[in-house]
Amino acid sequence: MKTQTTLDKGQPDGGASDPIMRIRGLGHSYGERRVLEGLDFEVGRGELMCVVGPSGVGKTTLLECLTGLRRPGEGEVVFDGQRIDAPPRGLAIVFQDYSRSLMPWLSVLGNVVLPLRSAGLAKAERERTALEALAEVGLSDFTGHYPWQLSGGMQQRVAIARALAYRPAVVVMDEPFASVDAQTRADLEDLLLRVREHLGITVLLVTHDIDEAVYLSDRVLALGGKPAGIRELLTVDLPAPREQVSTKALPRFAELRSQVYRLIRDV
Amino acid sequence: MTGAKTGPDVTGTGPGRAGTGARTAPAAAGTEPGAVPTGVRRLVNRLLAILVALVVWHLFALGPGASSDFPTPPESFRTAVDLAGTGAYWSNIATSVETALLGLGLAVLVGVPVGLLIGADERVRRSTQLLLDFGRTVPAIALLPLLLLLFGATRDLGLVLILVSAVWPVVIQTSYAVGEISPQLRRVGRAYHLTRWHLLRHLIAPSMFPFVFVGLRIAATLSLLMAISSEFLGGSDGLGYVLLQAMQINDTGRAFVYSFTAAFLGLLLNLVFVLLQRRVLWWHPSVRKGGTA
Repeated sequence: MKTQTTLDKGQPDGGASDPIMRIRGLGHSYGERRVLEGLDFEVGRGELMCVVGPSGVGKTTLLECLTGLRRPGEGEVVFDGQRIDAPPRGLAIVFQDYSRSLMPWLSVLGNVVLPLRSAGLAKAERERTALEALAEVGLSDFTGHYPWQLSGGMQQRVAIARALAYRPAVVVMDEPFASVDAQTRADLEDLLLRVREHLGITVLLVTHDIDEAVYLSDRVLALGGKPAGIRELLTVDLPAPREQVSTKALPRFAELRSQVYRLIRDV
Repeated sequence: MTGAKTGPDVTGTGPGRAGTGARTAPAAAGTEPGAVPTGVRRLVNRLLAILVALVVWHLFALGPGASSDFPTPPESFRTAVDLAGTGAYWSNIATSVETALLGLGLAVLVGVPVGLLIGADERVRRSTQLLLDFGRTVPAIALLPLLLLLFGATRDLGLVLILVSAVWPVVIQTSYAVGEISPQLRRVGRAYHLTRWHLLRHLIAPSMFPFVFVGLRIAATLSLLMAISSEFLGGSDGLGYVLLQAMQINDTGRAFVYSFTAAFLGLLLNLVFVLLQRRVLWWHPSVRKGGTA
């Protein structure tokens, strides 16, 4: 369960020592247009993996296939030993567009609690769970607010809290910090690292931002080509804990950054 | 007359327009910067506008209108006070309002399910568009002779007339509303395994409501109009009928009061909807205070 387990044990062909997700031969086409081809990789339990690739490479399609929101044309996604064709119960998604993924007619607490109500948790327990999750993202004082009364960064924290309260084994995030300003983005990145350290969850994050991918990840999956395939699955051997200034000042950070950059740029 | 006029307003009306009907005030507010709060000035300006209208009316009644017994504002006021003391006045209002509400209920009962069916499929929505546009443009009053033949001068006539005019905005807005449920929220619903009931109660219904509400509001106005029109033209009891009677005996004083009563009912209806909107759509960008999209 420790977050470190997969760091140094990355196996050839994208394997992880204790995988929670296995992706085999994943491919997808929209009509004649082939988007994804031959993806094989595993996500280790407790790992933080970023999928990085240029805009339009098929990251969102990949994410949809991985979460069960879309049935892949080829191959399979196995989550915790089960092949999935719908979003599995142990997986929570944080969407890019926070303003559209929260319900404006529900309070912050209401938004976080709703999935727990559907899951049939007793009132006391679901409230406790939701409040814990909101505390985790630093929103304890805003439970009665409505999403539209909050800043973009805070709204995305609500969405993260909703995912955490769901008690998932894996949180999948689709460009979660793409539409907030730079400072908020850095804050949210560190929040994610803290939460992940604290709760020991697995995180699979899709981004087009190479800095973000290298900064956050245990491993970076570089996606490129048409149709897109895995360019490389890089182990990020930067020391933990990561820190916005000092980590990004490391020579190794710059190396990894350039390496990823070349990987996804070359066609 | 009335059905056709209100038709074009229905076209693809989004919820953003729901709040505009009642408030045209900013244009009336003064331009020079001063210490007077704008709210007070707005009120003063409104009262001034009413005063001007009353003066014009008074002068008209004394001058060109005198030959046709055009009542002055004070005369009308006295007639109104007299009428308000009679039970018949209020029972006529009650009859008209009742017909309007019953008709509106019918229009909703028919319109919402039909709108849902049409909206559920994009192809159906597109192929029925012409039909709907046609339906809502047909002036319901034009059907009056036919309906009069079928139903006679009864309340049923009014109800049918209301139904055939007020059902369109409800159908159209409801069918639009179905398409306005955000695909993103649907994905949230799937990802977080919301139950059917929670989907309906917390996701689908609130997403659709702003649009359906606009339809309801238009339908309510039409219902009142058609209730009174049907009484006036068909001759069943209600505000429209007493207005007709007053006109037939050239009692312009009473006719005026009845007309104004109808207008006030319309204003009241609008007010009810504005308040209702604040209550049920408080979270919507058109209503809420502060915050971003």
